[in-house]
Amino acid sequence: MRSQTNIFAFTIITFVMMMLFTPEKASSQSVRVLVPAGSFHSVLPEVEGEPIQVDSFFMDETAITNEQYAEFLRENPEWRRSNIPPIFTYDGYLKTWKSDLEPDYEEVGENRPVTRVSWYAANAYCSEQGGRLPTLNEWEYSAQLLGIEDEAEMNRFSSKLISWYSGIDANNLPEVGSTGIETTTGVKDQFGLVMEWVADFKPIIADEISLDCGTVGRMQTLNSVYSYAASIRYITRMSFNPKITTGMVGFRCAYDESDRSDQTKHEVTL
Amino acid sequence: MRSVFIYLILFSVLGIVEVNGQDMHHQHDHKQEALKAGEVQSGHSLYHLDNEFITHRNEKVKLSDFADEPVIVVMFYGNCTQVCPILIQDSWRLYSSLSESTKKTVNVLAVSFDTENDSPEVLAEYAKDEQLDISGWHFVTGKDTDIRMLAMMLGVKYQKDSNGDFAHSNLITVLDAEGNVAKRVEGLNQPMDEAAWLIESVSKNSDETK
Amino acid sequence: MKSAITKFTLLTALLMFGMTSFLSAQTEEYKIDGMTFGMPEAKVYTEDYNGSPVVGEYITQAPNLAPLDYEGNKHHEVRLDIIVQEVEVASGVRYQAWTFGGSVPGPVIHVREGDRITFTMKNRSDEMVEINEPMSQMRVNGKRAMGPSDLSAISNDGDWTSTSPFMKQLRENNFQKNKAGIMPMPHSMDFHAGTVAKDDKWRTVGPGETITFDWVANYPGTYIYHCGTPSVLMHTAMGQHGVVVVSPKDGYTEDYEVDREYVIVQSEYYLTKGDGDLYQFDFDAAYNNDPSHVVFNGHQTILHDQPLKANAGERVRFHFSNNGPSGTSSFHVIGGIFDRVWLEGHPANEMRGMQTVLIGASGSATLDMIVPEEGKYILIDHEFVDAEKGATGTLKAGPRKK
Repeated sequence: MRSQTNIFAFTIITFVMMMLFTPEKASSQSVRVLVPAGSFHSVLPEVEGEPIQVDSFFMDETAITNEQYAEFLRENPEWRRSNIPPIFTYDGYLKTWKSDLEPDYEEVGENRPVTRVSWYAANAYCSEQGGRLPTLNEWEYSAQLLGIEDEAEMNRFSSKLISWYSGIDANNLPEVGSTGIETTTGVKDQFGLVMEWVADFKPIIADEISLDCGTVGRMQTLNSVYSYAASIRYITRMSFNPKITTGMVGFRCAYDESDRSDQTKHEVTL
Repeated sequence: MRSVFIYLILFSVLGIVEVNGQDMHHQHDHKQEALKAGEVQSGHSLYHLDNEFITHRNEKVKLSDFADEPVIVVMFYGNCTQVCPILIQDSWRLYSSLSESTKKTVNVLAVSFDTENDSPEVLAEYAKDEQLDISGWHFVTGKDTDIRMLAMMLGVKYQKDSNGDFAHSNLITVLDAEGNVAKRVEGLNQPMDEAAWLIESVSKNSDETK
Repeated sequence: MKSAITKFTLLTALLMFGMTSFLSAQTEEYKIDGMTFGMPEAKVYTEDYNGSPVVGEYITQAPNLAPLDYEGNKHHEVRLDIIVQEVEVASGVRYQAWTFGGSVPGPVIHVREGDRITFTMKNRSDEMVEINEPMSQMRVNGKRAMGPSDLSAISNDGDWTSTSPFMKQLRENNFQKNKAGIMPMPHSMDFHAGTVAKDDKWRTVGPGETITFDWVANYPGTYIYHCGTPSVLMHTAMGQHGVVVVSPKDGYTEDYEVDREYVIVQSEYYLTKGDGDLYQFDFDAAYNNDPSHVVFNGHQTILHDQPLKANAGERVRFHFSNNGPSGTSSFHVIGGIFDRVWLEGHPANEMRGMQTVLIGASGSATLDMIVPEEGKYILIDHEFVDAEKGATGTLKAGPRKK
């Protein structure tokens, strides 16, 4: 009887250990969505008039959650709050977490996007998953694949988007996947949840763009409400320091198409 | 000697302040400094980037392998015909202006952000063509995300366009013995006296502390 | 693409030309016509600061203006932190405002022509800063404040080194009924009273970052300050504006003394009902110049609820600023004529006997009025659509006192 208990305990422990230390844990893998190649118009003046070509790539269906991030920290202690050096972050890194590995679920609830992570931490996370942060153009290209044909409807959507930018409630973030905003390829919540890091959030043109009263106007080459909203997003993002840890910025990862895995949810015929 | 030290400290602080509003120091920031006081590396050392890169000699290296002596870092890409040769030339100008003894200790890292094309073999070819396959010079590539990380720490912006060309910042950085950014030279064809002088003093400094 | 690279290189080269080293990039301080130019480079950094969001001795809540109780010029240390506050702008209308220091408009900063200001601003949009909760979150002289008495104690001994008269006034008269909020965004500060390079001093700082820079109040007058981070329409409409009053070193006129001075700030809100009880920024309204509220001193009825006071026969001076973001103001007082008006508040721009003064967005005027007799005088934007959206206030006059 006693030995049976021991075996039982051993099995449990082994199971728990496996849960903790198995590197390829199913839950850590996010659903990856194929974004097919295409082109879009940027609000950045450097590409005025010319559509930007984007190759196909995979992107996480939703933003990285606190749970996923905690798992990354279990494997990568150097990125824990108590270990991360100041060259990679400001003081506020994961400051709302209870401890190094525990998000404050009572406060935020489960399945919420991880925020208060610096660009460096986001980049390291994606690298660890065999991916990378999406480029600015990849992210923006994917985001505008909304499938809204009607101009008036698009304007209404974009007006709402601007209001959202004026009022991201970092204290009460909804669950990932819950905004109901989804691209035609199945990427969720690029709007309405948090702003997201991209690999080159300070594009090369950032040095030339003067952020002032005239900037939004100078970016209105597309002359639409959507481009107005986009310019606010571009400007906000490019004025961040990579060490910033704020309650309104999270991230998701991208993967080159050669890394195609069987996690693919949406197959899109090109 | 004392004035050199003061200058050195001034440079380190100002050098960091210069990073486009990044990595700013201030007296209020002492808490973070204090945390790392017992360690060899400062909290702002680039040597915290612990990932492996690979050189044109097919050697696996970590940035911290170059610790204890000043390092010159430049980011470029091999297929760049317009500005990169000037950038490399600028780095050479800085390197060649150093004293013979300093040249022996200083390392030059020319890091490519074209991870797709600039394999160690391509970089070896590049080094040969530029007649820079010499001791102390390392043409480096690595994993895309690591290169991106290094660039962000240095304040180098780059962006690939659909033709495979890169738009990028032109920057030469001097790291001190601990891997902190000690001097940034932005733009092409810039005077290198201050950077060279700084490397000499860092180099001397680390000699003395040994 | 090559052209883009070339363009960039050229630009960088041009930029670098005058900047062979960043040490020499700084302009030396110099003087022209007695004015000071060439301020040192701004500093952006992170700091461990959780004290009073507004620090400075001559900083008040509108309509108050702190008297300048010093001779000649002074070097001011001023702090206005960016904090998010849920505020009331009209009865039943509350929204999460982006503020300088906690109110909309932000605090009134009073200096004298020629004064130097070392300005510090921390972007605290990412932290809850309770300002009406009596000092519990604040630090006074480096120590945690124990309660409301601490603040009054400070004001009594006149030590404003860790806070400001503004904080005291706001707490005693919290008509916007502040509640702390969090809404992280990058922000910046653009003082129209400052003459500096905007790409240095008016730089955008992200949540958690602090900026410090110097400027000299070279020109007398009343000047708006606002957030210069795009979209400026959104940032300003969200509440990020206030005024600096720069009093002329030799005063406005030697003909008489003024009895009272008031600061009036006109501004627009573009709000629409959000999902919950709160209102939120209405892009369409802002873009189409159709404000939901046009107000004096940040609240639709505040200058009626708390009328300005004067007595018959007194000379009252208004420092009036139209902070916009987009509207004009035709400022008039029902029953009064402005005896003297200094456009933009510069003593050389004197006009007399004006019924209405047209003031564009970010413009101002200093206006003196003789209060005729006991009774009520209505301050109004005579663009009646604005008046009926709230841009009115009351001056209540008592009997003439000898």
